[in-house]
Amino acid sequence: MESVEPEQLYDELGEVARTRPIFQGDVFKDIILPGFGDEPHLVQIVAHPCSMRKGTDFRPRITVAPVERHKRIEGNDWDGYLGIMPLAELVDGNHYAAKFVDVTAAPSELLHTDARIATLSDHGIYVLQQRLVKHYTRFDVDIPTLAKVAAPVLWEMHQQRDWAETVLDDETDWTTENLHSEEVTFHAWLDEGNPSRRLRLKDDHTHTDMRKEAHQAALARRAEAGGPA
Amino acid sequence: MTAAGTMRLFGTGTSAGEIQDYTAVPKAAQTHSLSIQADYLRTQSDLVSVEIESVHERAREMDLANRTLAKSRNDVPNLLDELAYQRGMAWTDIAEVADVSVSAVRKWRKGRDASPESRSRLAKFAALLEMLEQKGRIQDPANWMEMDLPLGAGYHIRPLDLYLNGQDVALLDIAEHRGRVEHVLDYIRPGWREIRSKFEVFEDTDGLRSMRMRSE
Repeated sequence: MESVEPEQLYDELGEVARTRPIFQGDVFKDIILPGFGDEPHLVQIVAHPCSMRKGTDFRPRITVAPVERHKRIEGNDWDGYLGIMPLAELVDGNHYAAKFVDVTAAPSELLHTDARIATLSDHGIYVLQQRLVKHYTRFDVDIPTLAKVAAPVLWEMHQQRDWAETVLDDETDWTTENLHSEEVTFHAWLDEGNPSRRLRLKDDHTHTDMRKEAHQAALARRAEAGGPA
Repeated sequence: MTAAGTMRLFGTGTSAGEIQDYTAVPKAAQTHSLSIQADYLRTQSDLVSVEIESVHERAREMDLANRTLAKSRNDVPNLLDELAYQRGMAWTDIAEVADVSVSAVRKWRKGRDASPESRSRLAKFAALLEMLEQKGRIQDPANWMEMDLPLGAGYHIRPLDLYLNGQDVALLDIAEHRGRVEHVLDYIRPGWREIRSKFEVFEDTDGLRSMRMRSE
């Protein structure tokens, strides 16, 4: 099983940009979970990105794992502790872990960007997926294959963020409404063409040309909205 | 060897007696002589080849260093613009090249300072892409960096992985088709053949990617 140090595990920790779409592996605070009492919990999204949304809207509930204090997982321990996703130094340098045995569904309206305290790097997401597969099936999947399978959805997620940050140049414009509007516009852009860009992306996720195209489209949209050229 | 000895060995072919001598020439000795000559020439050729390789490698390193110096005159936002928007690289890959997190790269875009080391790493990568384009004749080097090398099913090694392991000159060998990719990898990454995935990625019934065990 793959091990990962905090420097490679997280994309952002503590201060997380609102422009990053909510994604598998994100950690949220203050979530009251049905059946887990009245205490707010830390949770990590374990749902696969494809099963979290219908179109650009979240499904009513999203699968999460409660996150609790845990000893730091080091060395060979990564091959054990198969029921958790270790989250070292998650809060104030303290170590936590997402517990797969307590996986449940959280109301998606609670999982908003203001409550998000960490996002995982791409590599961190693959490690989470590897541990989830192992926990549920006792099956080992290698990281490069997981990376290949996840590549198109990760491409979309990163590119959507780039789009939002290009169009909404000023951080004060990163409101929920504005970000949702840009999400809808970005996905409409992905669906354009015959074959659509989304289909092209599925065939080959290494589309450097589409990244350039997306950026140009975002710049055009910013200019249209009266932003800096 | 004396002249007479030479005559005895190779003969002139002008008399029957000499022909008899000629048949007495030991063929093994002749082969041995040729073999020595071939060994010598081959060794000389190999030595020259190794020297040429070494000179070529030094020339490339100097070329890369010069290009890196030229690129590093650009500030970080300009380097990011070149890599992300002119080349179309992914932010995650840019972050890996610079050895920082993606969020750090995003902060640089917003004007935060990057360390001189990070700037230098970005400049070096931009310089290498330029070399791949000009010397390796790779049309879209950023795209090439992300693609799996042609090694057969189950092997997922990207040129970018080699770069991140410090094997930038080997990348030029691969780009310029100087030997088979497998041989270059044998040299720079022994044991790569043992890391082969048992899975294949396929398009599932819902149109999305899934994985399954490879049949062979």
